[in-house]
Amino acid sequence: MNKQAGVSLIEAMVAAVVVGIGFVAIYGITTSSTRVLLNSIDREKGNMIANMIMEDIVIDVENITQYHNINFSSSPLSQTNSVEKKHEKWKSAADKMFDQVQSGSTECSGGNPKEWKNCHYRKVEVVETSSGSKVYTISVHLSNREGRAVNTFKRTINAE
Amino acid sequence: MQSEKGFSLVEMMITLAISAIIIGAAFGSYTIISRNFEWQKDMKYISQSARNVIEMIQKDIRNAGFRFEANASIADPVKIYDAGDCCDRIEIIYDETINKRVKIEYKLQQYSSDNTRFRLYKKKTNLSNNNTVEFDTPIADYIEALKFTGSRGNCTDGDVKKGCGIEQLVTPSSARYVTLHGRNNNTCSDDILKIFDGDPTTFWSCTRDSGEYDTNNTNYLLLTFPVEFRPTKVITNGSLSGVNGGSFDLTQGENFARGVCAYNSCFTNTTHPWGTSYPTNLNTSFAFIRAGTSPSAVSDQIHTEGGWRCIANPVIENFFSSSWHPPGVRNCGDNNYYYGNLNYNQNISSGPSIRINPVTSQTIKFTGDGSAGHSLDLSYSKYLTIRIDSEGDRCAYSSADEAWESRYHREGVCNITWQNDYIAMSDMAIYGEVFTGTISPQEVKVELLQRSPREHGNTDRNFSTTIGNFSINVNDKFLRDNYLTSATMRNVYYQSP
Repeated sequence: MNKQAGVSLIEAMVAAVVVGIGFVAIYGITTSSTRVLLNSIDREKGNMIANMIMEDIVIDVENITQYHNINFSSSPLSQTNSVEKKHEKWKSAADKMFDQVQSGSTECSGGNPKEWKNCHYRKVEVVETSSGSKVYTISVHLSNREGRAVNTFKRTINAE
Repeated sequence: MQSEKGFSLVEMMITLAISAIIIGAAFGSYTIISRNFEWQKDMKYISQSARNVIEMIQKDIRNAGFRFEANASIADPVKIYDAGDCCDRIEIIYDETINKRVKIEYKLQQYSSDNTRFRLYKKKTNLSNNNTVEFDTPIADYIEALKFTGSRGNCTDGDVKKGCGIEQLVTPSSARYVTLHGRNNNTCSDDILKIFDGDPTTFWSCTRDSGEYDTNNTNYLLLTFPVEFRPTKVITNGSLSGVNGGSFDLTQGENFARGVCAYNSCFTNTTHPWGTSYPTNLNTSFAFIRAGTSPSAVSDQIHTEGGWRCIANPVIENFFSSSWHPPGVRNCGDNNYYYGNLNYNQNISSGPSIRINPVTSQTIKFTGDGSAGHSLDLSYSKYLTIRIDSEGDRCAYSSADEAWESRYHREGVCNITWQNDYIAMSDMAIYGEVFTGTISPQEVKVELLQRSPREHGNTDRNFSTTIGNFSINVNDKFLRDNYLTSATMRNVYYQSP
């Protein structure tokens, strides 16, 4: 006489949990790939804005130092000169392509940038590589999704 | 006999229930993952399509206006057509090769009968080959708006500021010759416009022999142009026209040497009879001016046809930028009244005039320092005056030549003789910044709204945005995204016309 034992309820439950974990993992991968995609799109858009900003600065090297530390998450106080007009242009472009910076939002700083949230960081920095060299490094910081995605684009130019 | 024990009903029910949960979860996950995959696919489609389009347009905008030096200039390298709707059109012109000038056109066209679906077409026309269309083909789909905005630094339409116009060759439409600040209307029958005809073998001259040249006064050529312009540079075309025979050895330079001859200055690089018969470019010098020498007497103003204005330059913003001034009243860039010529000095520190080289061309930029007397480049007008400061000289090689003086001259070289008996000018080209009212763009902003090919989700989503001067507000299941950048027309920005 063969004694054939069936699958116990516990075994079946364990199997179901294992399969469930598999599904959760797959779902996690999907979420993660969505995040990667969104980051990649952010980077792509950021690249376009950064290119625009750098090109705008490169054709105005006479005023290059005035572009340092421009925070284009907000509008300039006036738009009377070319630097201020460009500042407003960049702000408007970033607002269109990315989320608009909420009023009251603070500038992201300190800590691990990967953990930034509920803040913004849209800034241009123009730094002369060595004093008098006229070689400048332009850095463009662009945050999106309330600081959760921050990209930095850099280029060195000769403003001689 | 075998004893076979099957599953009980309860076991079967439990098994079925668990299987159903697992299958349900699998199906649910599949649906979610599948939808997510489709969503990602379309998001990536939007992003890739927009990026490709923008990069392609950017590249063409950066090429706009590029031309090989030998080819004619391009008047409007970028033209933007805005009908006030979703779909701007842009035309970009540049030289692809030395023998091939092309026009690239980007425009949106409705696809079939679907009035919500537009395709982006790129058309390439060979302007050097009877406007042959090389291709006119769709390069992207599902683009709902494409807008272009041209700009030029800090300039807006109507601005008359340095850098807001288009630098181009300006050629006078008429010209006349006067002396003594315009008080004497002498006649010189030769056509002054020959100086500007682009032909270095033709020249203008006025000689004592013809009885027309007034040797006793300052001589002026009054030029009237068809357009107002801010002078930017002049290219003098050194020419041997008018020189009969002999030769000029360019390898030894073009400056007449002092000290190497017995007394006078001389050229040691010429052979007889070069320069003995009214050469056009032997020591002639001139200056560009805007006015006469005194503001007190209207009769002293040379260009009675009209005056000039200061351009609105950052240095002199709002300074006499909106009203006409009688010539000679004020100097652009100088806040104090300054009575005198508004002129250009080739070398501000050492001399007032431009001396033409005998052979080679030279380019002189009007980059005054904005101080009194040196701000011609900060003014604009339809009128410009050439003041001839030094008549042309001639050569004497030996006693056989006129004005030979054995005491002062060295045998066999071109001794410069100041006989004050003629003025002559060969070819020159004047360039200026022309203000047309509508600014010619130097940067172009490209904005694009791309939508997904398929609908996503079960509920409509609201999307509203403004692309350029076009606003869109829709409620549907399509995905949409904005893309925006700008490109500099580098060939226009850095070009030398």
